[in-house]
Amino acid sequence: MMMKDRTVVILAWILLNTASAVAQNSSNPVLAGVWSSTVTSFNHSAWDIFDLFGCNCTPETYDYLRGLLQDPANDHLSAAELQDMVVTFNRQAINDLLTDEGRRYEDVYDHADDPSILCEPFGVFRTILHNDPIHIEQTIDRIVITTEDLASDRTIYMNTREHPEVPPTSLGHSIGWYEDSTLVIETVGVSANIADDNLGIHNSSQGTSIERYTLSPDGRKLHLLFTLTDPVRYSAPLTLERMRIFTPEVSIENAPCESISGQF
Amino acid sequence: MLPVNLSPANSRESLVMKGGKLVLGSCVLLISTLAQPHHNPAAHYLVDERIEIVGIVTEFRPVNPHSRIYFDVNNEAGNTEAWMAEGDSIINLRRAGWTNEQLKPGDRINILGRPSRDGSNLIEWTFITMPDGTEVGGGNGQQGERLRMLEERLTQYRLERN
Repeated sequence: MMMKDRTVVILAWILLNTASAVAQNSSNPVLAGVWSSTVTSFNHSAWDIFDLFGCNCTPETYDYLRGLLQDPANDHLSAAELQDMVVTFNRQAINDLLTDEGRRYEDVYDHADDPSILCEPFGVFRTILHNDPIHIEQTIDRIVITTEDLASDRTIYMNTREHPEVPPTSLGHSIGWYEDSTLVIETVGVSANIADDNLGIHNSSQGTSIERYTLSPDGRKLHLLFTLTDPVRYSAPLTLERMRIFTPEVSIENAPCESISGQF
Repeated sequence: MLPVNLSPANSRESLVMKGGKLVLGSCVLLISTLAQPHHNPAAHYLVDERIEIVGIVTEFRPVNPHSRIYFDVNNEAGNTEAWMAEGDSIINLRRAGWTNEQLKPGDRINILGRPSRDGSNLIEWTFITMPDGTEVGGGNGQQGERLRMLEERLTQYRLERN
C-alpha cells in the first residue's frame, strides 16, 4: 500500500514538473489568462492609437490606416471620419477577393437570416474574430479557449499534427503548435457558416484557417494573424489582423442568450 | 417631448421632424459597424439613419445578448405608444458600471439611435440622455462612448506626433 502511494506521488511530481517545464519553456509563449479587445476594454491604457482604430482588418487596411494617421494633411478629419474611411477601405479589400460564387452569396444574403439572432452559438471562425474577451488555458496536450455570450468554447489539440476524417461541424477540428514565440492553430472540417457578419465574410464547408498568436515583447499584447483559405468564396487566402490585451481584471461571464433581437 | 439636447459629438447633425420623432440625416453620426457585438444591426435596423425620441421607462431588462428598455411615448395625436430599445449586453454594461437598476419605471429618457427596418416601434440606442442632461450611453457596442474616447486619443496622438 505504501509502495502504491509512493508511486502515485512520484508520478504526480513528474507530471507537475513536466507541465511546468512546458509552460516555462522560453520558446513557448505564456498565453494563459483573459485577453480583451478594443470593443470591450476600449478605455484600457495599453492601447495605442493604431490599435484603437484597428479591427478585423487586412494588412493592406492597416497600411492605409497608418498612412492616414501619420500624415498631418489628414488632421482636419475627425475620428469618426477616419474610422469610416478605414471601414470602407477594409470592406473593399475583402470584397476584392470574392469569387463569383462568393459575390453571388453576398448579393442574396440578408442579415435578418443570421441564426445568432435566434441565439444559435457562433461557429469557429466567427468565434475567432469576435470581440468579447477570451480566456486561454494552456496545458501540455491542449489549449482551451473559453468564451462568453454566443461565442463557442474551443479545444486545440497540441499533441498531434493530424486531423481526423470526420464530417464538417461548426467548430471543426483544431490542432496547434509553437513556432518560436508564436502559437499557430490550424482548423479544418468546418461547416458553412458566418465568419464575420459585419464584414460580410461567409465561409463554405471548404474553408480552413490558420491563426498565428504572437505575444508582444512585454507580454501585454497578443497579435492575431488570421488567414482563411476558402476557394469557394475567396480567390486568394483572406488575411485579417487584430490585437488583444492582457486583462487579468476581466472575468469571463456565463451569459445565456435571453432575448431575441428585433422582436418586441 | 423634452427639448432636444444634442451632445457636442452629434451637434453637426441635421434634424428633421417626422412622425413625432426627430429623424437625423443619413450622412451624419459616422458610427460605423466597425466592430459590433453579436449580429449585424442591419438585420433589424436602418444603420444609416438616426432618430431621437423621448419616453417614460416602463421596464429595464438587463439581459443578453442585448439589454432592453421598454418605454411609453406620447405620439402627436396624444396617444401612448409602447416602444422597445435594444442596447449592449448586460455583461458589457456591467463592465461599464451599469447595474440592474440603472433605469427605473417612471424615468424620463431621451434616446438617440437607429430606427427599425420594418417601421415597428423599435430602436437600437446609441445614447440615452436623462432630463438633467446626463448621458448614460450603453448602446450596442457602446459605440458612442468609444467614438468620444477615440476623438480624445486622436487629439492627443496628433499633439504628440507634431
